[in-house]
Amino acid sequence: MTRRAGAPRSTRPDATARRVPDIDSTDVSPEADGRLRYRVIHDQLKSAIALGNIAPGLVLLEGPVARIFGTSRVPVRKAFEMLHAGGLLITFEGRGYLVARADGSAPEPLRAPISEEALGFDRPPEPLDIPTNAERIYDSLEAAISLGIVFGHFRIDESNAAEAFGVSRGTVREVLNRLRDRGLVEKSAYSHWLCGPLTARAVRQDYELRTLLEPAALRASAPTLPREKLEAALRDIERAIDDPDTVHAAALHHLETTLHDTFLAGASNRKLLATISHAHMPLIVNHAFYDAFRLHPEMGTLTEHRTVIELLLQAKFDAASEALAAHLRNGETRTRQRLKVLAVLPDPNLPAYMQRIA
Amino acid sequence: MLPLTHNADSFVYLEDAMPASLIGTEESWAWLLAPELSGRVALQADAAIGAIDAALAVEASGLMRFGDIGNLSIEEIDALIAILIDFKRRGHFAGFWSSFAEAAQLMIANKVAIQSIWSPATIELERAGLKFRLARPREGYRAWFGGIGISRLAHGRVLDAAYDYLNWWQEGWAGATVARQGFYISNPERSRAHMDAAEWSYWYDGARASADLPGPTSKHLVPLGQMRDGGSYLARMSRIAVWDSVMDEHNYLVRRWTEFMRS
Repeated sequence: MTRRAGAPRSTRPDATARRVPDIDSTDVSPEADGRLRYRVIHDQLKSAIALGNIAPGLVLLEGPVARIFGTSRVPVRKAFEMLHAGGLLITFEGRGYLVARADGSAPEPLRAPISEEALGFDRPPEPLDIPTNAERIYDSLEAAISLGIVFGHFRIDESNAAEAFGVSRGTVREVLNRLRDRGLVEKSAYSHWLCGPLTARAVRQDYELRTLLEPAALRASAPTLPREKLEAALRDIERAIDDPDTVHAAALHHLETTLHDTFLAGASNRKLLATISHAHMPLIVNHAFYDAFRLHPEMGTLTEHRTVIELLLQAKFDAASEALAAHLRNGETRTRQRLKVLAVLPDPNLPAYMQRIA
Repeated sequence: MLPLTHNADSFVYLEDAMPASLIGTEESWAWLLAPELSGRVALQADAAIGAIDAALAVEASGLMRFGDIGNLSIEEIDALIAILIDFKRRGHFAGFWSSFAEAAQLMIANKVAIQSIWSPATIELERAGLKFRLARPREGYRAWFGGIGISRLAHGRVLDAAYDYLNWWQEGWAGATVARQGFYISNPERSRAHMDAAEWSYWYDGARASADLPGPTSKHLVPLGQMRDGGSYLARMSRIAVWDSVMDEHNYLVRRWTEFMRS
């Protein structure tokens, strides 16, 4: 699952962004160049205009575009200037820029709300800020909690976690709130953060939801999937089928997120995608299971993935989404069986901020 | 998986320790929770099996009803554990055993008067000269079976050896050996060749021992004239209340049962 898709857009105040303007002064390594905000904004807009995904004449204003990218206006201004210099944007008698026609001529101004769709993005742009403290600790907290809930019911101690990570309690709270959106933690009536225990019922309910929603999302997303992406995914899965013993937990997790997250992301219904990402607990269980036992993937999972990808490549989108539904039904059984097996494992070493209730 | 050993379990009690209120009534799992026996009851510690015995006792006592004792829901597990913790806090349980040897010892040491039991323990109780009965509960037995599966990683010689081992289990000698511990095998006819007629009649037909018979080890003998509680194979196996199972919520059950054990 991509957590970025589900994570709230940057809440970094403008003042901070102005202190660190369009160049990330803390990281000047060459590969950081691609992360320069103005450049990413420029490249994304440029390609959307070139592909004809943005209506000619659309009036682009710094503020709304900055909001979409989750940045301050500064890098947007710079990107606009570069696009203007390249002839893709033109000035006019009003505030902002117009998107030029393909031949470079000036259309009539088109004043429309600026949304991700209006900017021609088939998925939300990656947030451009450097990782905040919250983002840095998100993975660790998610991993500890995902593992913990398989083994019991825990309270998460905010101040203990803040100390462990060397961040403020507010930062821990921000991450826990995001994990609550994902359904991984809950807040008690006394404002205690609680998680687990993971039950077969929760797994079944997640699968029920996924079986209803993922095929619909795939059906909507399938026509947008580039052939190269599908071919690459097919190569990955073929390689795994040929030599399953080389596929470790992390690689399997990648195969899973490709099918169950990346391939669905082209669906334009954001609510649908957000709901699906909240039902991805089974992926976490399976990851924990494969990781704990150092297992290699089970052949049924791999061949079912292959079937879906092959159907997508043949543009048989209905059949692909049916195959995905069948895969999820089988996955439910497999995951429930794995959950039973996890009961015989001794408790793992969990961080001190995970305090066992039961 | 190749199904092999199976049996129908219940509980065992010391006849002389039973209160008048229970003697003469039909044996029931409810006896495990009878207030008259408080402080003299033991259950097995294993979550998967112990919880089913406990659920049978709770339902038989009229404390709650379960949809399917072999596949408890989360709410049923919570309610069951709450009842058990309540009994435990009142001092109802004298112990929890993890092996049949421990179970036998609890009774031989006179700590408990009634407890769930596995068949081999009864032979220890006989050896100790205790006057006990293996119950034939009116609600039925808790049945179980065990089997052997082969890892998908077994290949070549290892795989051949694994099949040889499965075949050895089915050749009859192993079946006769587990029969002397009170268990049944999935292909009993093969075992018949490894048992004499008197042994077969005692273990499978529920008949009185017509001679001293060999027990599970050379130290144990089934004395002439003895008869098993519960009757023949057919009589036992046609009175099954529930089969042991790894429930859907097994994980949750194990965690909650552990709380009960620690309470």
